[in-house]
Amino acid sequence: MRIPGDDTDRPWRKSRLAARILFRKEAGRMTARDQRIGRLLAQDPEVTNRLIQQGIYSIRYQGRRIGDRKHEFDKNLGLVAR
Amino acid sequence: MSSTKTWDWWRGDVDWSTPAGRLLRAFFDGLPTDRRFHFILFGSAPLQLTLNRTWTSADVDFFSDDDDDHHERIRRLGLGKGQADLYLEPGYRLSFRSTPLMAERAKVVSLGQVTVTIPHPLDILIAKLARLDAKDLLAFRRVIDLTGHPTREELLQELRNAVDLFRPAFDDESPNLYPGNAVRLWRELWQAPLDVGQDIVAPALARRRAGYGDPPPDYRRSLAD
Repeated sequence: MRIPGDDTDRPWRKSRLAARILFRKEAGRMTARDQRIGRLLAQDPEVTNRLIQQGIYSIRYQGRRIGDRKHEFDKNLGLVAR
Repeated sequence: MSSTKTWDWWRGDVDWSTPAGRLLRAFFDGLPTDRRFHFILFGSAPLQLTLNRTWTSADVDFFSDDDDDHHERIRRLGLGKGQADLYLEPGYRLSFRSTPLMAERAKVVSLGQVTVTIPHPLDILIAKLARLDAKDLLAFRRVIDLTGHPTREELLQELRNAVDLFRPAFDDESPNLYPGNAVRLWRELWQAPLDVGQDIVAPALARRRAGYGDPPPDYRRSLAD
């Protein structure tokens, strides 16, 4: 349960949101709202690539975990060459 | 059940009738009985207590886990520097630089309200690498003579696990002697060369990186696009 006033997991919650936006981006379903929030999160020092990566591994998108598809996911986002 | 740990060659049976043991018992007997104490030994005393009773040392180094200052109590009991042939030398946690495995393989002994942690000889020896005077080098030789350990490969593995000991010193410290002393130790004990960067630091950092997992790509840039 989230304790009011306790912000220790705030970076983690924002990074999971960033991961969800990237899942929608990869699926070609990114909304204008996603773009706007994505830009804000990209500037947020609490949101790190490491935490976003953990979010990508831990959340389900459309009922599925990323599993072995992680490299393909990164490639589809244009973040790895091959 | 048998273990496959490479440090199983030491049982840590304590001989309290040794000079260090008697000195510590005298100190413990003089402690207040209304609270508990925990002391961690370092220096050569653990070698005398657990490996060879004739091991000589001028002092018994220890620190208290709550960083109590015991100087005054030791002086009152007549067990301090200049008061006894073998004397107690209280230090602090930071005085003992050793390996991350120290607590895991140390022997912990209870004597009434006192708990004593006695580090494994490996951790005692690795702490001695900070200085490696002639006496420290002899300690390596003697432990190996008595136990057959550590072998060259065992010590190499231990130093990889303790890789942070090889970092450069802070600006206001003396230079870190660990790298040079490790090279000297290899030459003296095994007449073999040691390349600290290649043999210790690189494998240790590779393992540390593997433990962290792959570095993430630049997801923030993708979010901003």
